[in-house]
Amino acid sequence: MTLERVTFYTMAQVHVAHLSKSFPAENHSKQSAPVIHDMNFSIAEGEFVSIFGPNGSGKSTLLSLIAGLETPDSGEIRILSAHSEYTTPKIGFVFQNYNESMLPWRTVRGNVELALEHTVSSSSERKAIAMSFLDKVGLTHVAERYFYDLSGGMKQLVAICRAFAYEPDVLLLDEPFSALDFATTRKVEMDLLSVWSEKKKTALCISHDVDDAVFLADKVMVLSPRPAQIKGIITIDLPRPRTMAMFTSPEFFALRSQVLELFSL
Amino acid sequence: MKWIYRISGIVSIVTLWGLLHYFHIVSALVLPSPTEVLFSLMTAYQDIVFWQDIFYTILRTLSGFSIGTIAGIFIGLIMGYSEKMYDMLEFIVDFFRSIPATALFPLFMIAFGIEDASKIALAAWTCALVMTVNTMSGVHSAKQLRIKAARTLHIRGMTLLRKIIVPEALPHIAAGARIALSLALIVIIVTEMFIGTNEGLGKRITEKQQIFAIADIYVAIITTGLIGYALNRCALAIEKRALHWHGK
Repeated sequence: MTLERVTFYTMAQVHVAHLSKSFPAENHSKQSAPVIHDMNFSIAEGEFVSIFGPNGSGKSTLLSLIAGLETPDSGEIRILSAHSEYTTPKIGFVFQNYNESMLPWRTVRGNVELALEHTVSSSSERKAIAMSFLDKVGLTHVAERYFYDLSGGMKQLVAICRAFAYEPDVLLLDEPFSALDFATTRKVEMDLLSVWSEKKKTALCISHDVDDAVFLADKVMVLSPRPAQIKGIITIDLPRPRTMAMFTSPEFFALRSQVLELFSL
Repeated sequence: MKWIYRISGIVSIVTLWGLLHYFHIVSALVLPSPTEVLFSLMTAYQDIVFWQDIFYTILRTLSGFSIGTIAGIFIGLIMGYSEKMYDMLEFIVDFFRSIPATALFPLFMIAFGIEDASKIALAAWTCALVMTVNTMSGVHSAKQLRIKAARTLHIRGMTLLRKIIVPEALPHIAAGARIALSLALIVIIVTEMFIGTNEGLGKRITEKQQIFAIADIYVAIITTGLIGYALNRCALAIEKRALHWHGK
């Protein structure tokens, strides 16, 4: 019995079972609006999963639930945690709005170090770790600049560095590219993938752009409109490392069409 | 080029003053000539007592301001952070804020005596109330997403307060501090005029009025204005440096 449980846990880094969540309706009636209804899925360790669904389908609520920022009405979320120092798992959260989720009064390095101040007591060690992450995305030259001094793409890269530096059990990305233009998005995606493949973190990324969803992921989870349920999961078997050339490959188009077909079903 | 406009503004108001005086539009008893005030100013600046008055007024203002500001920030943080404390204290703070500080003079004199303590205490009281309200609204204006993001990093309690909420509230605290500083100067000048003291610009004004030294009253008033202006400029400069990230 014990052995079975262990096997189960090692198979799934994130396990969501019969998850439901509703919010009180806005018109003050007693009825509540269901956002997520009986959702079930598992994510294996080191897997990159994209969540693709219509706006207002409860994608952000799903991430908030997994991050423990909100509590579900019913069902359960289990996250395999490698850290015993906290009662809750460590979540690396990258938000869409980097301006309001990061700290403008700190430098770029200071922002990354925020994730380390709990766990790493030596300041020189913190600095070294922060610099090593900034180095991976080519931002060491702006490490001592203030956060507000950076461009949008760079800011989001700092947010990604902060999330990785935290050594999270799961990485959650909530539409991280929505505020960025086309070229910047491609650059940030490539940098994100290179850090991710090195650190092998389990990642869950919300996207409302089908190209982003397919390009980044091992699996694309397509959600229905509210209340959110999983319409289907499409495995993206494009080889890694992903390259920009894949965007125009027939394989990419085939997978993209599959996702869109499922989406509009 | 900007300074030309600034200087011409000052020159025009002094010219207007001169015209009002020399054409007897305003009685010389109320408005002495600019040159007369200038001469009084030059005599006063050579007088050690005048500098003493300035020194004590600034010292009292800054003492009252410091005590009140620290207390106000402290109370404001507690009220901003804890909903229960807010519910408990909100009415009380709002009520005391509605009482003009001048109405509390007699009470403060009885409680703290007629020496410096009562003057500083009243200035501190005024500053504390302003700072409480501003700090509180600063805490309330903290970006919810930033707090949420900090929560995901296991930043809670006092650490959350120190690393996220206090910096978030700083722009409001700084704005409040500038208001508090000018209010402190007002309270100190008024208490110096009415609670009596041996030195201070407020005392100087009433003293000169009693002997009808009108030009000297103007000297004291202009000096007070310059002090107020200088204090505000200093506060702005500090604010600009410390809060360079604000609004970006």
